[in-house]
Amino acid sequence: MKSSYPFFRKVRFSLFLIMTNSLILINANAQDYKVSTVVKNLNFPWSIAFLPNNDMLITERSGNLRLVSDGKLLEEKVTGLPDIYVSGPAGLFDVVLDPNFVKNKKLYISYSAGTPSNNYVEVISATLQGMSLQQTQVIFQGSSRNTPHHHGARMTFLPDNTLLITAGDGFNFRDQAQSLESLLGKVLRINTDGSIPKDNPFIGQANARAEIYTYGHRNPQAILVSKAKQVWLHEHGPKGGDELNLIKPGLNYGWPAITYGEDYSGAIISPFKEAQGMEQPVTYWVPSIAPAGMTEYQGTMFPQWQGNLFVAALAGKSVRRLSLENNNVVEQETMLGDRNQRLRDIRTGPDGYIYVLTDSIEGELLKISPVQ
Amino acid sequence: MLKTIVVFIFTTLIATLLVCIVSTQIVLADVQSFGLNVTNDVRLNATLDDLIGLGPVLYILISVGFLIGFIVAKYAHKYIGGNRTLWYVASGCTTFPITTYIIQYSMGLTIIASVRTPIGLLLATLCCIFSAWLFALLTTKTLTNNKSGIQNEK
Repeated sequence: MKSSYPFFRKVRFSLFLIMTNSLILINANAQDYKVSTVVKNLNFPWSIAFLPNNDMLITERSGNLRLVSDGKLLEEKVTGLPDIYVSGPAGLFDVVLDPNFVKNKKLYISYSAGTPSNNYVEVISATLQGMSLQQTQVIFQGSSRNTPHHHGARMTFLPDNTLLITAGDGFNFRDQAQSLESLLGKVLRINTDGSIPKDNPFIGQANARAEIYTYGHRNPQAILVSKAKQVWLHEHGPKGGDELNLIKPGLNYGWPAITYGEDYSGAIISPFKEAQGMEQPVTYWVPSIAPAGMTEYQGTMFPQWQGNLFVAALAGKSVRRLSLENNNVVEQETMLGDRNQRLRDIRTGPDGYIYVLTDSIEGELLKISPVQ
Repeated sequence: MLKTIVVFIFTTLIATLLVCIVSTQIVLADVQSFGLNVTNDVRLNATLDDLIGLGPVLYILISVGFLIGFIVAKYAHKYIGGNRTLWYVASGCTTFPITTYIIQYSMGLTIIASVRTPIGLLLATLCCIFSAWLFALLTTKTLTNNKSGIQNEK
């Protein structure tokens, strides 16, 4: 039907343009990546570490360390883990390899230890020999709490081979995030033998724990050192106010004195969103997405994503791809949202693919790869 | 019966109002302890924000606690005797600690931040005691003496 009215012709042309552009956009996004399942039947998987032979270690919060070899989950579990306090969100947490793993076979594992009324994060060092942990040694013990919530417990290595450990505020003890006498609500820095580096920011300061690297955190759920040697961390806010932070030693990141969120009860936590001497987040999420796990993409499979941060989200049930310029987020894309799965961790594999853990009693290891 | 219901709603609202105001001041005291200056305007706005944000949750917690507590108080007085007002005050005294304990036990956390410290729990409890006492006082006029001499509510 041919319209004789110029107005309707313009409307039809505009609709045609919108539809065409939408199709091009959908197609462009659809061509970026595909998602496949590598492994199923993981019980609340929490963290991944890639071994030099491309096998993967995966922690399960329920207290098991699993090995994925040649793309298959081995039935046999890695033995030699210490006693772990498993309750709700508490259990086995992170696993990271020593920077010199090829030679010394050492790795570091964080977990919750103790009892319901007295539990804490511990970190062990151990050597991986076959399917067994040997020479296990506790190198860190966090402050005691009586809740199973907000452990943090993510780890990464600084370029000087010191170990950063995140510590949550224990939920009921949020005030301690501002106290330098407590290890709750902090990023902590230790040597791999458990000793404290002599250049830690609060060394020698009265009434301050020497392990503290930064403070004022709520529940940090990812920490990484970027290619540019910057330390990125994200943390759960309360109802709203999840934060992405750029970590620098000795600084105060504000929780709970300043926050973009409110309490789950609807109560205020603080009337302030910013204050002198307290760092602002690089970006924040309201409503909360509950970020968990993060990777800076430096692989070869997705040249267009070089240097992007990828954040997995539990409540957000998606991956957020953050494009950065001068340490500011200039673009944010939501990925994997159609799968409607809580996501616990995300890592770049040595093969350049991106690997994602889902958070479920029937958890999966997903692989993001380019569409050929 | 209708008057008892109206008085119950009224005193529960009073308890909610008092606990909410106290709760805000405790949280603001924490914020001040971090070195931040809380002006009167900030304090007023925060208190109003909490009445809107925290108030409904508090009202539900307190009304459920009072409902159970007041029923227990009523029948305790009926079958055990003693001072009626003291039974209601006792129910007001236990409302917040028991509610807090149940939430902590079931969820592993204390959802109302202000009652995580002994002083906060004490202040919230005092607010509930006052409201329970007020309930007992306002419902006293509906009492009559029965043949046994024990006061019962109509």
